[in-house]
Formats: sequence, structure tokens, C-alpha cells
Amino acid sequence: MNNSRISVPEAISVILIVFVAHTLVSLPKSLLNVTSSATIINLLYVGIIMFFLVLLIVKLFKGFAGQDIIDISSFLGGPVFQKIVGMIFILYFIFSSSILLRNFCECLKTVYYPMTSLFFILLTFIIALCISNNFSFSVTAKINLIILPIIFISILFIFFANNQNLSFENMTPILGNGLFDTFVTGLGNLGAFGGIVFLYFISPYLKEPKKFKRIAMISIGLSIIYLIICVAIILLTFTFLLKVDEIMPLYSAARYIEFGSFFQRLESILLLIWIIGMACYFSITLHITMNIFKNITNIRNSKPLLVPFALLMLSISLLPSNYSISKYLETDIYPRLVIWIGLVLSTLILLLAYLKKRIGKFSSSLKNGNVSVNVSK
Amino acid sequence: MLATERPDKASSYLLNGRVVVLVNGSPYALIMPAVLNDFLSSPDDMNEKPLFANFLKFIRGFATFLTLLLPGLYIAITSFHQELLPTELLFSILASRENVPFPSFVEIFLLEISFELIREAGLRVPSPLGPTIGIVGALVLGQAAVSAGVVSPILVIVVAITGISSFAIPDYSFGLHVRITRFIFIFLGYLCGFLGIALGLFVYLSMMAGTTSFGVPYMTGVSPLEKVKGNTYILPPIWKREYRSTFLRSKKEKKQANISMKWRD
Repeated sequence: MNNSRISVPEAISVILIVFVAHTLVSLPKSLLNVTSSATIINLLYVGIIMFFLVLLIVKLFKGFAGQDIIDISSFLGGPVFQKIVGMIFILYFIFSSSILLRNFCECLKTVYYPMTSLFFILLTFIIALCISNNFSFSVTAKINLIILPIIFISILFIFFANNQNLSFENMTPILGNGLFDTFVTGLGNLGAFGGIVFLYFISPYLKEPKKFKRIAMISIGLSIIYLIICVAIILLTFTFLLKVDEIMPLYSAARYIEFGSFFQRLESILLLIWIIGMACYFSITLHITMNIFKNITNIRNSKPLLVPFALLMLSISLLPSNYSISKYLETDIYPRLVIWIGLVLSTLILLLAYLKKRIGKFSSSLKNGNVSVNVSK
Repeated sequence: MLATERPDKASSYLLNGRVVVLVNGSPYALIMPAVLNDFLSSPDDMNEKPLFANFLKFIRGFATFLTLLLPGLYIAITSFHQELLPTELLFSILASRENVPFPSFVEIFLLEISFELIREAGLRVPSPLGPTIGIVGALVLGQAAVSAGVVSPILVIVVAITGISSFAIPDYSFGLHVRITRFIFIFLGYLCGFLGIALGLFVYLSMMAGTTSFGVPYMTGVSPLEKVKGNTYILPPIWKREYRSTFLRSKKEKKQANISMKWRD
């Protein structure tokens, strides 16, 4: 683990790549399906809620510097509880990355490889992951840090290059389907913040665990800005009423970019950059999954687990029989998993562990006789 | 490790805190540790104005990119992503490829191997014959092959640009590595288009980021992202070159006294 330590910018990029990976496939569209033209307002609203939630998480993590949620659950409930929580997170990571891989490959097949079997496109990713994951976690984090700013620039490029096609009337009605849908039903959009789950596992990898709060705050701030820009591109380019952008909405928006008659259809170049970003996300997920398994089973070396886990990812991504099912899993099931596992369960574990630590400290201070006794003559 | 025959380059690196190994019987001085930036730098950069030196460094970096990826990108674009090309250029490429009997992968492979053959032969040909062989090789393999319909003209341009770019790489062994790796990218581009090239780049960058040179990360300056004093990817002005590179952990980090614009005193 010593040579797998990552710096603050790398840690921030590891959390942000989760948002990037999901927005490239279908996240903006699924957000728009819930809150329609009020999505930007809704994102600001859930962003503020998430900001305070992350503050709470950072506060609860303070007593457990350098530990991840698996170690904390071991402290809370012993080895059995540790293994249960570990398996839940392994299943969560495998499921989320497999379904995203499936959806992304389906989109690639639709756009560029209609005659190719989906299996071969998936296999290409899996082979690349098997090769790159032989290196340590810090290597993938470094590549991630290189590619993430390029992806951000590409998103901004889509936004500004598409300015002729942006229609601000698409933001009306301002409150979308109404106050209730925007601020109550719209709470479901908390599921967009799947990157928070990685926050629970990043602490042992940090060179400077004391900067955990800074990493969390900067990540959540940048992710809110990034999500708003992505949603703005889709909302202002396409009306939320028409389902014209089901396949990678950002890619569809990029197709409208043209500079004269010689620079048209530049979306392929953007896709080249996005594929590297997706590979970074899958690689990081695989690393964390293997590390969780290594911790709960107390094995010394997790390298032999690489191919089995990669094949497991491939198998699960092949399970849905068609694109509609995998899209449903991505747009409906995954956000709920983020809320229940990533937010509710994890915060509960942190809270209980924090309380247990505080009670433990109090009772040990009582046992040590830190109680003043008045002796009267 | 960096290998050089130039004593000025070796002494410059020695003064900057590197280790130089001289082996009896070998004309090369081995410099370690060597990071990516060293393979893209030329010792003449220090003698130029920073603006010119940085421009040349950018040209070398772009040349490395072209050597590595241009043939692969060409084959990916013509096979899978034709929409990237302007319509007139696309028609021109299709028309030129009409009479070529081979698939584009075989075409590009033939030309690349031929170019490597000419290059290697040119190294060992006696000096009086050298230019003649180059001209004959270029004429025969270029023009005649196009006239015979073996290859398309656009591909000759692509291979020529790739070849010229490979000559712009300052370090011979780094250039060799890039020349060999581009065949992998050609194959990946032919197989999967931009998907293959992107995943190939991902694996390639992972390998580079995972490599260390005597404990120093190979891509220092870019990854890990940390403030590195001394000569980084952008050459600072001469009055800012006071420090040795941070990653060398040298005993004396400062090379010389504060020389920042002393002429202003």
C-alpha cells in the first residue's frame, strides 16, 4: 500500500471521474426525466443538501483518519459485520461498473460498430483493464489526473461551440413540473452523486490523510458545477419533451458542432478522450473492489483476483438481454443504490461508529478515575 | 537511462545532480535517473532563448505524438470514423484507394516496413552512395508504388510525415521505442478504430506512469503532479534556473546564488 499513496489532486480526480463516467452515458437525461426544465435549480438544491451531508461525513470520519468504511464497520460490529458491509460494497461496485460498461458499449455499438458483436467490444475493455490493473492504484490515479482536465475542457468546448444551438426558452417553465416534483420528488436526484461512495474508500490511499476534508469539499463543489454544465448542454440544446438523445446525450449534442464546412462532426475525437476516461473509472472501481475483498478475506496479495473480478464484471455486463433492461438498471436502480447504500447505510455506519467511539472514550475516562472526589475532614 | 556521446550534455546533467556512468570501451555516457522530459530535451535548448527553446520542445513533443499515433489515427478514421474528414477530402481518399488491391492495414504496414528498411539501409551505406539510395528509395517506393497502384498517394504522405517526425525526436532509443509502439497502434486502429487507440493509449500511459528510473517516476512533473523546481517540461528563463530538480533529492538544491535579474541593481 505504501507505493499506492495518492496526492490531493489525484484523490479529487478519482472522485470526479465517477461523475464524468456516468454523465457521459445517460445521467443528464435521467436527471431531466425526473425534474424536466427545473433540473438546474434542482441540482443546486440537491447540491446544497449533498454539501452539508459531505460536511457531516467528514466530521464523522475525523476519528478514523486513514481508515476506510470497511475498517470502521469492523470497529463497529466486529469481523462478521465487516464482511457483510464489504460484500455489500463489492456487489455495489461490480454492479454499477458492469451496468455502466454494458450501456457504454451498447452506445458505441449503435454509433460506430453496428456489425460487431457486443461481446467483443466488452472484451476489449476487459483486456485493457486486466493489463493496466497490474500496476498500482496510484498509477491509475495519475492517468486519471492527466485525462480529467482534458475531459472537462471537452465538455466546455461542447457548451461554447454549441452556442448557436442553445435555446434558453428550454429552461421554461422555470419550476418544471411544479414545486413538489422539483423539491420533493427531485430528491431522487441525490442518486447522481455516486462519487461520494468513493469518498469512503479513499482515506487509506492518501499521502496526507489530514487533507481529507479539503478533498471532499473540492470534489463536491466541482461535481456540482460539472453536473450543472452537462445538464445545461442537454437542456438548452434539446427540449426535454422529445426523446431524441437517448444514446449518449452529450455525444448527440457534440454532433451539432461545426466550424465552416471543413470542421464538422468532431464528436469522434471527443469520444476518443471519453473512452480513456471511462477506462480510468472502470480501472479504479476494479482496484477498490479487489482491495475490499483483500481486506475482508485477509489475503496478502490481491493480484491473482484481477482476472476473476474482471471476468465477473464481463459476465454481469452480459446478463441484461437487451439495451432497455440495462438502461433501466442504470437510470432507475443505480441512483437508488447510491442513495440507500452510498448515503443512508454508510452515514448510519459512520454515525454509529462515531457514537461508539465517543461512548468508549467517556467510559474509559470514567474507569481511569477522572472523577474528582471531595474529602471532608 | 539516457545515453549520450556529447560531453557537454553529460557534464550539464552531472552538474545538475544526475549520476553519469562511463564504461571503458563504450563511447556512451549513461545518465541516470532519466525522466520523460529528458528524452524530449536537447542540450542546445539551454543556449537558446526560453521562448525559442520551448517552441522547439513543443515541436518535438508534437513530432512524438505524430510518430506514435498518425498512422493509427489515419487507419481508424478511414475505416471507422469517416465523418471526421471533410467531404471533398473523403472523396479524394476514396478515389485514390479505388485501384489499390490491398486493405488499408496491409498498405500501411508495407509502406512503414519499407520506410524502416530505407532508414536502416541508409545508416550503413557508404557516404558517396547515401543520398542516391535515399532518392532512389523514395522515388521507387513512393512514386512508382503509387503509379503501380500498390499504395494510395495519401498514405505516402502519412508515412512520410510519420518518418520525418520520427527524425525530430532527440533521443535515438526513445525514437526507436516510439517507432516500434506505433505498429501496435496501427493494429489497434485497424481492429477497433478510436476505441482501440484510446484503450491502447490508456494502457501505454499506465505503463509510462508505472515506470520508475532509479526510484524517480518516469513522468515526473505531469504525474505525480507536484511542483518540481529546476528544468521541467517548460524551460524557465535563465534567471530562474537556480535550482536543481526536486526529484533528485540532491544535497545542495540550489545550483548557484540568487541570480534573479542582478543587472537591475
